[in-house]
Amino acid sequence: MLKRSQRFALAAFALLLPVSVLAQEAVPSESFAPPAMGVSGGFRLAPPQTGVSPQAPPRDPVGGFALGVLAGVQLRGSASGQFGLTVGWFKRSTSNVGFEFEGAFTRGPDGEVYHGLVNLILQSGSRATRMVPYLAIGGGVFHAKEKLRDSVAAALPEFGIDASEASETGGLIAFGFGVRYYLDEKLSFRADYREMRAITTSSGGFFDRLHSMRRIAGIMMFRF
Amino acid sequence: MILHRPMRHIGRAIAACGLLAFVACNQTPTEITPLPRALGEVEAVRVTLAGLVPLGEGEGGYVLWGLRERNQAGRLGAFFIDPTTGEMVDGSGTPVDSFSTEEFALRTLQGVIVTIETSPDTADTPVGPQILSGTFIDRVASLTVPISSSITSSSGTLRVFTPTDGPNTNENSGVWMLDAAGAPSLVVPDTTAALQYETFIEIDGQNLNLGRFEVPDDRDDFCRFCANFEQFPQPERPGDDLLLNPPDGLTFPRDLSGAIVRISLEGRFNDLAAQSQLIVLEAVLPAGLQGGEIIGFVNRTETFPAGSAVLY
Repeated sequence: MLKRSQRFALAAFALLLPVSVLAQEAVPSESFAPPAMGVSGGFRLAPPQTGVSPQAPPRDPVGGFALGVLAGVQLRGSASGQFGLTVGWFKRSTSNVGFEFEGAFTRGPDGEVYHGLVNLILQSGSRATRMVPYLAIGGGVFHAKEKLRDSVAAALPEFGIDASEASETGGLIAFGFGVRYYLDEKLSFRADYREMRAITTSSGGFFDRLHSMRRIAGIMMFRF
Repeated sequence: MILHRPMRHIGRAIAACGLLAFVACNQTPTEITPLPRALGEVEAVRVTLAGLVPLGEGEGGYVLWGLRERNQAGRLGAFFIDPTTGEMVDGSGTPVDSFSTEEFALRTLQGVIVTIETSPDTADTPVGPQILSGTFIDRVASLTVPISSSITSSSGTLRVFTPTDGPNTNENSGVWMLDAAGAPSLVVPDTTAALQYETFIEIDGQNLNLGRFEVPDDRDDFCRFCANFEQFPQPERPGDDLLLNPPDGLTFPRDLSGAIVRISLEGRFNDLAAQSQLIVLEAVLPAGLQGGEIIGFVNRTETFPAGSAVLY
């Protein structure tokens, strides 16, 4: 029997595959459609994109650099808050491929975790709709610093445990998906789900050392 | 569907990573390191105890339970007390001070309790008498006997006389918790849903149960050694006359000189017949009892077990 979280991950993965195919089927750079940005009132699907449109702009209106502010929550442990910044670059011609650096810290009940991630972002054509699903895959590093509560620090010596506060640094694997909604050409909001796995320094095999830092976050992106 | 070669590779990479994420889903390290600890994970409940007595053969063992939301109890482990060292040991005699489980997240624990279970290795719900409990405050719980802290100032006296066989008859054969005026003579806190008071008297090495009571101003549930309490009603206070129905090895009426009277806290449910280790008050009856003496109790709550538990 699969655990509930494994069933959830399997379902999420099944959902992700079509998005992956969608990203793969992104319109080639030579077959532009009119940009959907700037159209007022909700989402609007683009017409079938066949051939080269003479009205196509020279570049995707949402491509280029973007700065993001991230606020999220860990889904494991004590639902700790996570805050950070992202800097991304999206392919100027189609904006369906991008790279993003994320730096964030998580304030846990017994310490803090800082992490840096470099992600590859694959999103479906942002020309077709304001609502853009995307996939993210990346890796990075984390640094965790535990902070003992006074009561615990006072009690630990009784058990022969050193009450000094320890820290740990290691690698991070991240895989996730989300949806970006373009408020306009410069401003977009992302709802992001990320399966992050910290490679801790505990003993055992590779999978025994992984610790889930699964999170959901909202990211406000500003293109510049 | 036209797939560009680079995109095909990316698609495969995504599929591989998705599979990796699925396989590794819900992983928690086998050893809690600073990262999970910073995020609130707890490796074990670490417990230190003092004053718990070793249980005799057939009395079972101690079991530690974690209390989650809505007081749901989850088993953390069984332990025993080594009769020579007084340390907590597991079933094989190895010292133990930390308990963990895969059944629930230890960080969610609100408190812990210790019970005495007749089948400590298989008990999956706490049914035996509760002997210690504590609530986690900032990850640390102080373990005490689950009764009001005013138990430490309990006091009282007993009066030696035998009201159920009439006046001036075998007056040194009964003990009652009242003063010379007939008023209640015990000052003890209220009982709880888990514990109540019980009086025992030790005579020639035999510990006889004299009955359980809730409050000092009402009678207890036994008067099994009393005489004619229809003609001479027993007082509305805990106590007993030792006049009839002696157990094997004793004769009644009995001069109670040298006997020891103890009032203890006993589990309300599934309690063992023997007196528990939670002795609240104790009185040694002096030699040469004539009847009518008022004997003071000594508070023995300093012998109560206690300890602490830490989530770390």
